[in-house]
Amino acid sequence: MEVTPLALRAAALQEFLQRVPQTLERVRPLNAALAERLAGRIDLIYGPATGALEEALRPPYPELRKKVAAAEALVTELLAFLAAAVARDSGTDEGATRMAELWLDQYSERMALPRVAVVIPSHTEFTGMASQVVRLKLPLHGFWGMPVVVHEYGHFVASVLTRRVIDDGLTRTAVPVEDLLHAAAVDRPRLYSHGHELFADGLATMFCGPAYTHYCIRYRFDVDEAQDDTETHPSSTRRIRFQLRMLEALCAEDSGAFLRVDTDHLREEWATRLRHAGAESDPATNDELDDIEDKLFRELSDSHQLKNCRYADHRRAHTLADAGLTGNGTELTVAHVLNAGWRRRTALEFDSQRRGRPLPAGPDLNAAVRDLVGEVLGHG
Amino acid sequence: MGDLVMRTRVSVTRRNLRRIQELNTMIERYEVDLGEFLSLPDRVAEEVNGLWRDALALAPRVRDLQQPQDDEYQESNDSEAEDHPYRDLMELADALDRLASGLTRPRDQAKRIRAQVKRLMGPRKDVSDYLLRAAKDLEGRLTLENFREQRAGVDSLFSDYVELLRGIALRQAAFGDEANQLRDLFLIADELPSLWSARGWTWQSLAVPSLQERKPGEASLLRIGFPEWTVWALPFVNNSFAHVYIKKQELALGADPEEVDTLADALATVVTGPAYACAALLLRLDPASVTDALSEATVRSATVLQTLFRIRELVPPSTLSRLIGRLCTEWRDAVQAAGGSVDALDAALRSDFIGKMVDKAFDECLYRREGHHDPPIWADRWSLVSSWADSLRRRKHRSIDLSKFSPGAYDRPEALNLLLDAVWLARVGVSDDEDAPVEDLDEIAKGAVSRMLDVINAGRRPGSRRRTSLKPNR
Repeated sequence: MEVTPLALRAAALQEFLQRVPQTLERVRPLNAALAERLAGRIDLIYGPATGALEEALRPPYPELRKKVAAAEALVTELLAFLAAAVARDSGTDEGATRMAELWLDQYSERMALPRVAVVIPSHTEFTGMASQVVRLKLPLHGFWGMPVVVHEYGHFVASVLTRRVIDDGLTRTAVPVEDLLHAAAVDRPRLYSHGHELFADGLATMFCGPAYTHYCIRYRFDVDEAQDDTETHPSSTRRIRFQLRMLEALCAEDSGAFLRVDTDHLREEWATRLRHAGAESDPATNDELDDIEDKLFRELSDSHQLKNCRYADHRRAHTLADAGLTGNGTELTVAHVLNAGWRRRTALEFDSQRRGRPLPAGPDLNAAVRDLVGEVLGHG
Repeated sequence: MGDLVMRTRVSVTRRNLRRIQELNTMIERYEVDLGEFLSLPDRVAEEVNGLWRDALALAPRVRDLQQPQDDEYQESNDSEAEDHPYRDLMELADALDRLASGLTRPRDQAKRIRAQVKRLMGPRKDVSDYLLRAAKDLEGRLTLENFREQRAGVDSLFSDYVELLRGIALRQAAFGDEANQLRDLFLIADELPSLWSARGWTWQSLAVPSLQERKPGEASLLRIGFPEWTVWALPFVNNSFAHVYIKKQELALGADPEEVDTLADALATVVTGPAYACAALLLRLDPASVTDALSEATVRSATVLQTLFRIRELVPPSTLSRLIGRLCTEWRDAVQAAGGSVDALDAALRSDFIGKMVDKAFDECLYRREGHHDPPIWADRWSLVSSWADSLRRRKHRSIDLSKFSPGAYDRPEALNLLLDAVWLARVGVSDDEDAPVEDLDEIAKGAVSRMLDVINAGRRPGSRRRTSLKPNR
């Protein structure tokens, strides 16, 4: 074979991947749990990938480019594992990435989907579809930002959620969200990205309930730029509208009106913030994106797999909040704990406002949420 | 000369007042008689056991005496065997053993009844504080000259005395009744006022069934009027007790009866929660009588609603807010449909007079911090009430977790109150699609009563303390 840059790259990657088991032994003293996770990936993926590269370097060089790309993704993932091991060993993320991993594993198990490879702290949020690494942006604003990991997970789910469909009499496996977005966004990559973000928002809301929207309104979405689209993200007004739509759907199935109360409160809070900023509450008209939005909403609502993880019984969050976040971790979910934290926080803010004074110094609510999330996940 | 009539009446009245003062002695004597009767099963069991032991002890001796005849006995036929004293003694022992076993249930039952009667007939603060003291006071002050002025008070006291005796008799009549529903309800009604314990004053209540609910008179009996001898009407006990509380705490010195009544409604609402509003609006008050700003139905309904609106401002938005909104809307619709005056109701809802009574109730019942009232405990724990309501609605009352309300703890009476709010919330949801079907109401009520009794019975275990000196609603 001619010695092309691609072939040289393939050879280098092959050599690199062969040294992965040694890397594993460097990770193990830093973080045993992470090492176990990596070891599982090595058996399942790295080994076959190394073999596939070796085969691709022999005539007739089957799919060399594709196999090189897959191997590059694994390198990214391996480096992410190393970064995660160091970050966790140093305590940089207060245990958040490990807990996020355990949390996402629960969802994957319930939906019979593959697990993500690893969650690592990063300067940016991102989910690598090929590498299956979820990056969580630090600082997280304490554990208030935990629902963001489910948003990132939503990107991953979009790429692995499948459905059997009948096409011209033949059964095939479709990846409905990706298929939908690719079809709608031909030559328009912006629509693809925006649709992906809306799906991830919808999934995060569906799984986490109001806790995700609380976080978005308080910490993420700047009302001064609420109407602005970017290359990769739709406007905040559109995103909040989509989240509220999902919350409304959850309300219809939630007894006791607790979710209704909090959804109405969020709607009002967002509207008030926009009003104070002199911003419009409705997103700018975009028929194509509106159409994608409707289709994505239907995908989210109709999926049997996703239904297993829908947030429900919001009363438990209220009860836990009223009890001061003391509860039996074995009977709770992470989503309930996060929502209880928000409920408790807004109740304290209400009371302080009523009494005309700042929030009193008291037990750290973020720490209480973190500890209870840890208890729920069986993590330290 | 010419005072025979008065002298006779004063003498008879004094005699009757002394009879009231003998009430405790009469009750104790009754209790002794009843106690002797109720201990009969124990005494019989003791005798039977003695006979059984004697029979067992005698049987081998009889057998030994008849030893040479044993071979003959074994060869003899059945009819002769039946006459054998050893066999007879063994049969007697078996019969006595069965009799002793059969007495276990009556003994347990008698023990239970004895405890209940003892509790019922034991020294009751309301009897000794009000009825007996009132009788003694009156007897001491009664003269020929003031007989006419004292007449009304005397008649009221006699009426209370008769009601008390009748009430106790009626409650006793329920003993032994398998359903025991009446007994259970009045046991709970006795305990409800313990929510109101004021500094240095412990209330031991007795609620009596009555033909009509009347405000407590001199004896401060709490009457529960027929036909509302149900869990749904229990909140009215708190209104009755509010009158006692107002008098005891001297909250309305020299005030007119309307002020007292309005304050009582406000207090009952603050202490009880929406259960009181539901009982008042859905069971008692006539929407057609909301005719003008001063009619009783107008003032009472507006007081209850204004109180709830004010409490709503003390807590963050919640399903409680929705329930309060719904009750107001439903009442307004009922007033309109019945031909009452919605304008009169709205005016009363803005009434300053009612507002002042609500202020007074808040000051009396709710703690202040940093110049602002704390919400009532039932409002703070509304999600728990909702959770319990859901359990009652689904007929899973056993899943209501009372473990946090430990026996003797200060918040044990609160558990009763939360259950009262929960049972009404189970019946009337925050929206009409959450209302319980009519056919489920009996089961819901039974479930709630069962848990309330668990609260009461756990509180009576040895070592449990009674709350005495905390402000209502802590």
